[in-house]
Amino acid sequence: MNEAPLDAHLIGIVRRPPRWYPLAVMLLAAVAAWGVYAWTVQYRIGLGVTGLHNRVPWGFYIINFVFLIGISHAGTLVSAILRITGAEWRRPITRMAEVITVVALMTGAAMVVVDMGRPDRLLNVVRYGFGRLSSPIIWDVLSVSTYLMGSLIYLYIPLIPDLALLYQRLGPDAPRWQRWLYRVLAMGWQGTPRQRARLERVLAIMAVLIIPIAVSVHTVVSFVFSMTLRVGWHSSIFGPYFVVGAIFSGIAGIILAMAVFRRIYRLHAWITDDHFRKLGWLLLALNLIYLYFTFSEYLTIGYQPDEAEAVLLQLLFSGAYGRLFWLMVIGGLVTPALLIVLPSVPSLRRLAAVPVLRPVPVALAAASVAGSIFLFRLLGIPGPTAALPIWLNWEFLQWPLLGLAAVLVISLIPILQARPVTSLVIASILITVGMWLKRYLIVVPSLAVAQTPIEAIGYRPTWVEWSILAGTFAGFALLYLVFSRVFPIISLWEVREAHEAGTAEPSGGRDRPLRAAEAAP
Amino acid sequence: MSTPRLVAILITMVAVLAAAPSPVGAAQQVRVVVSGHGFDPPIVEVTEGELVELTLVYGDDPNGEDNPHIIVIEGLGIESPVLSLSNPQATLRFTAERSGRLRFKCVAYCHGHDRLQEGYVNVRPPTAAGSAQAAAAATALQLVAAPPEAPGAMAALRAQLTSAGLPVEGVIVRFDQQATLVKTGWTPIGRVRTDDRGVARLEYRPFGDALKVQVRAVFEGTVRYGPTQAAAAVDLPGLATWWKPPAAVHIPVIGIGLLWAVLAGVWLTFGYTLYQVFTLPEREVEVPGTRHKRYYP
Repeated sequence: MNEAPLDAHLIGIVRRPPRWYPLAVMLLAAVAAWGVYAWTVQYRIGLGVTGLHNRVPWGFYIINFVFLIGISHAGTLVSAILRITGAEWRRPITRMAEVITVVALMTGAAMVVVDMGRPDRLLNVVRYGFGRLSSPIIWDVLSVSTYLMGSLIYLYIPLIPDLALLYQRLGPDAPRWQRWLYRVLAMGWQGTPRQRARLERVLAIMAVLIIPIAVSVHTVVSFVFSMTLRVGWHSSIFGPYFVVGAIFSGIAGIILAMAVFRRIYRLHAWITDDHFRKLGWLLLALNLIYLYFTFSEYLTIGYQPDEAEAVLLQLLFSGAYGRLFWLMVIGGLVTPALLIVLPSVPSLRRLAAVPVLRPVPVALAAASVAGSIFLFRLLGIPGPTAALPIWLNWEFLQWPLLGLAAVLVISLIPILQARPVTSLVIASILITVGMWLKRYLIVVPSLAVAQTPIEAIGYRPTWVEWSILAGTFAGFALLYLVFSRVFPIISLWEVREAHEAGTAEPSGGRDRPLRAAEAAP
Repeated sequence: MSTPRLVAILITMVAVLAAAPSPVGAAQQVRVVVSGHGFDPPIVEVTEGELVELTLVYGDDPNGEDNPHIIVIEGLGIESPVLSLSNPQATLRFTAERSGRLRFKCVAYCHGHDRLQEGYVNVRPPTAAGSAQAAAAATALQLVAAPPEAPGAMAALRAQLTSAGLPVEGVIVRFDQQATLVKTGWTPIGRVRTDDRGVARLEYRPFGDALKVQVRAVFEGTVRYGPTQAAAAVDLPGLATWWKPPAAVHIPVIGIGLLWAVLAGVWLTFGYTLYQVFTLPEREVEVPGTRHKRYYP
């Protein structure tokens, strides 16, 4: 059998990882270890070292939990929904998406244990929880563990043919543990018709099964909030709102993973701009649905003649959380939508011809103004009595600065327009950060609003929580990176199958797959 | 008698006098005036292990507008009543158990609130001569536990701390209940400060699934008073039953059964899938050089 170039390329990565690999692993492991250290501090001293207290008992840990469970929906969407709907272009990215699911679920579930303060309290869930099935937290435990099991199976099954291939191709000079691992996990795969038929069957079953499980998982995560009588949580929209948000952030996550792996492992021939374009449209669709849900949610809250709800809206729109809220809406929802649409508006190219909008001079101007204002603030803002021109004060200067920033953004439009993938990756980064902020804005302000006649108290995370946050994301990246070193990060057999059937063009352009499909008998 | 011996005897006498528990009521008195201009004085000094009587005096203009204050001492959980024109004086009694600094501040919305955020009680260790030879006085703790009247109701614990027959006021008594989860141990259920009769009371809901619950009261000791503890048992009239929230949705027959059935269906499908995977191998191949047979191509 010929070794297809993709096989050779990916097996090459498994045989000899890139030179930067050990360094990256060490760096990520160091950050993750710091997070573990912070956790041991919390374990020794107690949850008192965090910023959590009896008024705001949920903070970074639960935000991370909801965020990571959301990211985990990447695998379900790309792998299961696109498999069932017969979207052939999904093939090179299914594996990446499935790994995101498993890794995100593992780190997300760990967040709950961290939040409990003591790991042995997990036993309480089993001991007391199952006598109390009316608690949404128990539904959460049941559905997340079911989803994790299902995702592991769903990651493993399509891996089997690739493991057999790896075992065959790996020379005898490969480490013993690696050969042993592939041999045991390959389950005697030979690619006989019976085995292929069976694999296809179980894959189809799991693809159908995993979708309702995934939907149930994020619905139940939303129930943990919406089944309470808290301000801003007790809302019937929360189920679909969370599911859409999860798939939304999941797609942004898979786009980021694709961009990173494409660059670090040089996979440009298999993960093409076309994949980004198609996922970009999916991302845009969910972006708009999410914007609509956000609008609908707050309008409903705003029409309730309830004082606590009014306090919550005030906190979110103009109060203590106002900056974060508008950063989330403008930076995490509106700007990404514009960035995705940008490459499809050809008339915007004319902006490049406007002399005022040359990006380099504008950037220099903005940077120098911002720099001088920063210095200005550092040295102290002079009062009106100082012997300085009257316009030289922060309140006035922020407006020209904002204007310059807007001009800078406009001047970048033609540049981003010529680079749709870069534009999409920037949008995905903004969405990922924005969706984390959104979860912060769901969890914290609702708890901070006083529902008893006591003054409202805020939440200020401590270094322990920041460290565990950093450690969690480093751990996530570390597990992902190690997986990509030990197993092929693209499903080899699925890509080869499509190649042989002529349904997908590895380096295809915009409408090549369609033509190829038409050409096939 | 030589001068050094005289000095030694004098030091010993001073030390013994310092170490002896002072009679109840002989507290260290400190006074702080609270007004919109701040605390006066902002820092007071007390000695570790002594009972402190902190008297707060309303210091705003008696003919002006009422400017009420509420003062709390951080870390002790002590809060004063409202200081106002109609209640111009309040006294907080507590024992400064550890040397260090205790912060007190105003938590009411008053004029000058920002100036009433930094008051300190400096707790200094006893003098060197005293602490070198100080022996903490022996204490005794009596614990009485009143069982709950009905299953799931509150039990009342009453601990009285005495030293040489006299009540010990203003110190913390911790209450624990014995609990079993993996192993048996004491889990804290509350910390209460003793009153002027040396009594600390706690009402709590016994937990666990035994009909007899072991509780104890622990006094960890201060510089002046030695540690002690006492145990007691609470007989419960029955076990608490789960409170069933009155949810609006009831599915009488299938209800929970449906949930379990769906879950079981999903996990059985997982099992079926894994069974299919584990039966993938088709022929056995001998591993060269070993007696083992492996399934693989």
